Amino acid sequence: MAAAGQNFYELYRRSSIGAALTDTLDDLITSNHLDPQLAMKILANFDRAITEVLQEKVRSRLSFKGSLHTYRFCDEVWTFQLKNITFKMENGGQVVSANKVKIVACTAKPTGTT
Amino acid sequence: MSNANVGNIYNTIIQDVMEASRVDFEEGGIEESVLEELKKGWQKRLTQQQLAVFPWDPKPEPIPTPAASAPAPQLVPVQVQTPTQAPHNGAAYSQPQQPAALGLTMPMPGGHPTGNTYIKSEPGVKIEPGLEGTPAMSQGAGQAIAQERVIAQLQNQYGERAAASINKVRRQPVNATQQQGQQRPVNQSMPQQYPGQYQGSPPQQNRQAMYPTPQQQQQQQIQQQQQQQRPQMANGQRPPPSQQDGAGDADGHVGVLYRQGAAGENTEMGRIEIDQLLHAQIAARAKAMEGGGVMVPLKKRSCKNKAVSHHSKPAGSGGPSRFDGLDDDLKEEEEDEDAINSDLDDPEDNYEEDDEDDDAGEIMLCMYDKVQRVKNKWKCVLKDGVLNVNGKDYVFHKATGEYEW
Repeated sequence: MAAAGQNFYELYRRSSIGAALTDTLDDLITSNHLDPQLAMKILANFDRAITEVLQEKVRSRLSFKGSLHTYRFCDEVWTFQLKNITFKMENGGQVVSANKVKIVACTAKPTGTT
Repeated sequence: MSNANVGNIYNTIIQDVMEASRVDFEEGGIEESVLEELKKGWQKRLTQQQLAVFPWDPKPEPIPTPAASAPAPQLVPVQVQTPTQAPHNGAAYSQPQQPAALGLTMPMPGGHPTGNTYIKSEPGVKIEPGLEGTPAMSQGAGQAIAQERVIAQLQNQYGERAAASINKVRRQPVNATQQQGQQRPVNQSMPQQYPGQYQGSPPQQNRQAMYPTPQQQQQQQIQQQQQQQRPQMANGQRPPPSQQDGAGDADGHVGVLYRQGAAGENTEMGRIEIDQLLHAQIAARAKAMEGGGVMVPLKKRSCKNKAVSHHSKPAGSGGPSRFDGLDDDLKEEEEDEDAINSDLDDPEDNYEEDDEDDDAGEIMLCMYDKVQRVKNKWKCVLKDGVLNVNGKDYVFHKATGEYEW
């Protein structure tokens, strides 16, 4: 699936695990343990790793309902702002609700092919 | 909706990134320890956010157990421990079992009469085998003398106003001795563990503690309360006697610090005076250390000495330390900033705009397969996403959403 040289989305860098990595890299750069170019490589590795792991290792499904506050579609990226949203895991049955959730979704289709 | 698998998924991602980056590190000539540091820092940040239970975290179970067991020994005073051992000790001692009430009022051999019923337990301390070197009489007498001396001092100095303090003083040594008497059985387990060894002279306080009456237990509770209150007691009082300490410290010194003047007269020092004395001494010692140039480069030492002596003057006189000066500088800077910046630069102004586009907190990052809309009803099929809601992370392979605009 992941051919060498394939570009992966950088959107997962905004996730908590991505942010944690970015912050740690920042610290290392600030303390001169790491140069920024290497940090960029590590982040690219992260983009690939999280995409692959999410594709291959995760099997859980969930559904959610809510009211759509804002939607935006730009450069093949959907952005939704939802309010009063409830998430339901398919077999867990546990419900999680939140006042406001932002969804950022890139197209699952390979870029270039519509 | 469980996020139990999130920890493992994240761990897999981290391992994956570490493996892939190892090559990049080698190519860049960076030590592998940095990679390890990166991993540690990454994991630590995730742990701090408490997003999920991570496999690298220590198991949470062991933490409460030592915390719970630690205070337990201290909280097991005489009441709890002794009744279980009572029959055993009672049989071992040659003296007949006495009713507990007698233990309180029994006339003590060699006990110094102080006119206070509380003191009756005191002889228990004196007969303690470890205390044979300290005559009971001198201990009790010395204490009484010291007490009288303190009272006289207070009366001389403050007259009527000292009445409250005197009352406290009158009560206090009594409490001290009784605490010693009561706590000894717990701390010195020897007599209880080898009762036969002491058959000839059974420690009285043991006997007394062995058969606690409700009355006595009440008393002990009162003592414990008093013990807790004691640190706040009047100025110059002695701190409560350490439980680990031997009994020999009841040597008639009640804990008021006297300073011998140049003419040889003793002046009593209050708490504040003692504090000032200590502060001056510590400051002097600090100055001596700094003056010694421990942390100072040699070439700077001579001029540093000057600076040190200059700085330590206010400290020695008990005035504000030089850290206050530093604080003032900081405040000034803050004020300066306010003076220069206009309201337009106020960071709070942008806050609300950012709030609309808030990245932190509740966010779902994923791919979309399909997004459909019929009038105001939306349906979408998303996949391979990470979701952060209510401080927890979730991952999903596929998600379907329905919402109305």
